[in-house]
Amino acid sequence: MFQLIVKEILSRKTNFILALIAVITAVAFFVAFYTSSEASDRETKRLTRDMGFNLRIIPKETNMDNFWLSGFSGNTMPEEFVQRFNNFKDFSYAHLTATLHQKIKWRDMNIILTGISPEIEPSGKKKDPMIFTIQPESVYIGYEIAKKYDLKKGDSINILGKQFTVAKTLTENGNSDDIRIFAPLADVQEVLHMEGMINEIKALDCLCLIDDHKDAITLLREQLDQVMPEGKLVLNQTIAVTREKQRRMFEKYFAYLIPILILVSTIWIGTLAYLNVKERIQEIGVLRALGYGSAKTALLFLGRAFIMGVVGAILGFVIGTSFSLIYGPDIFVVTAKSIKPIYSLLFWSMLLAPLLAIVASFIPTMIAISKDPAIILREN
Amino acid sequence: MIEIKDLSKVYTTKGAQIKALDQISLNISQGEFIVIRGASGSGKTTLLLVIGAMLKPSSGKLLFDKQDIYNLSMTERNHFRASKVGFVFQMFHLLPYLTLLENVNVMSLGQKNAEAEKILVDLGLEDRIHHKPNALSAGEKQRGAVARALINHPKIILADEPTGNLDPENAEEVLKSFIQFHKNGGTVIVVTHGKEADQYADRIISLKNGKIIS
Repeated sequence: MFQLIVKEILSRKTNFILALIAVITAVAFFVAFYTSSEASDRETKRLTRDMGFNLRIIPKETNMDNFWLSGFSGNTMPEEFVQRFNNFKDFSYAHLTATLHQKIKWRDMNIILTGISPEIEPSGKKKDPMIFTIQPESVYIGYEIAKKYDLKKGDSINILGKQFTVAKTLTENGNSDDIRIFAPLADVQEVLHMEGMINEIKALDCLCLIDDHKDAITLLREQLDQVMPEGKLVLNQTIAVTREKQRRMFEKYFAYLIPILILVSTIWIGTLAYLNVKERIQEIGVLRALGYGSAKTALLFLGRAFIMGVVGAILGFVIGTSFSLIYGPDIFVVTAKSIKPIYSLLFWSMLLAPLLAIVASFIPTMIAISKDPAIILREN
Repeated sequence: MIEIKDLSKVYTTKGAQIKALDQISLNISQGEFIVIRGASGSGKTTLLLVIGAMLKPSSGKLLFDKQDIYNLSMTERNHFRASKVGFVFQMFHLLPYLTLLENVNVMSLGQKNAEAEKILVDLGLEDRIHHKPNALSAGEKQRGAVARALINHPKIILADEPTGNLDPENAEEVLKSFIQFHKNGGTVIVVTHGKEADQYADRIISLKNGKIIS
């Protein structure tokens, strides 16, 4: 049976190749699109992550008028609050960083001194940190400060009686970071005499854990109440909405395009399968006369479709993946290096493409086996 | 071997009923060589297809070795055809993508090669075994079709105008192969317009308007 199918395919190459192109196109599009959507997702995460933290957890009693006027909370809370998030693995908070901000007069300038702790990741996943890690007794100097005092890397400066080394001068940000000095949290706590205290936890929401239909801020606040009832959540809507829109845009494209692609391919394969049946009508009559039953005759056509599906899945995967690997890095520049073949797609392609080809060939196959062989032979 | 009693076959085409076979009764013994003759539309091919378990009659009975083949299930009838009947058609109907050897062996591709080769050699096709039908002459194709009919050792060969597309020399070759089968005890029924097969026939049956007239 297999030999018969293969020999027929080899003899009627044009029909088979045209139908195969439909399978390859469907699979290649699916694979390229999926691989690209993964890359796009990563790209979006990276780009929006680079926009900064979008969640700020501050003490509950914070006066919001003062908060927005000064840019940070005037109240404090214990630093160990941030550690509580470690006990909640499935929460929508990522990249948590304890911070302490204080306005101080340094030299003849009003600046913000900010202490930052290393990030903690409650999900347990290893993630690239969003914020820089500053070595003890080192500082990062904001653009305006560095410019005014002509500070350079390696300079030694004194802040509130403690000596620090300038580890980096920051580029212009166009926000309050330009008049900020960043230092390790412990050092800032020491010079401000506020050991063990912070006034903000910065974080990024992990959208992967938020249901599409649930209001993100409601969920985040519910979760915060469980972990840290002493805290209040402030969400930067602009960044959060951008992240969410970016992520969902690609998913929508995927949801619309793939069914259309599958429908077109099914009609394409089905039409060619019908033409194949029409061309082989005498053959069907003869085989039935020789003793081929309906099931065996159907297998000739469905087996052909199965082979088409398997070959199409492999070639489609290779073409779709190659397309993503060749053109993906030009589109997704930031995450170019992480665009890799998704081998699980080969498995799914090999499962679904033969199924698609069989479904598309089903009606023509039924036509083939329902033809009365006696009528075929009598007409011939 | 074959008992046909009051057998009729009616086709309905575009609302009109056409009686292709009309109350035919006929007995065919094992080892007979029968020629069925008649004009176009006389019901020859229909009778052949009914005998070959391909076309269920509208009424009447057909017993093959005392068995009513139209009482068999579809699968049983397929098996019956594959094991007991050999068909030979006017248009040869060899599968174009298979070699002659593979065509002979189409029901069990790759399994009976030695036997298929022997039959092809006996039919004088030893040089054509691995050729595809498009490389064969009409006579070679028809002898290939005869080989395909013989491979499963059928009890009966049903041939529909087997020499209709052949020159006299090739027609004779094909008929000789039927005679050989007949000599070995096989039953042959040839439906034809021509008279080439008459000389070998044990019996000639003439059909007209679906009825046996002689």
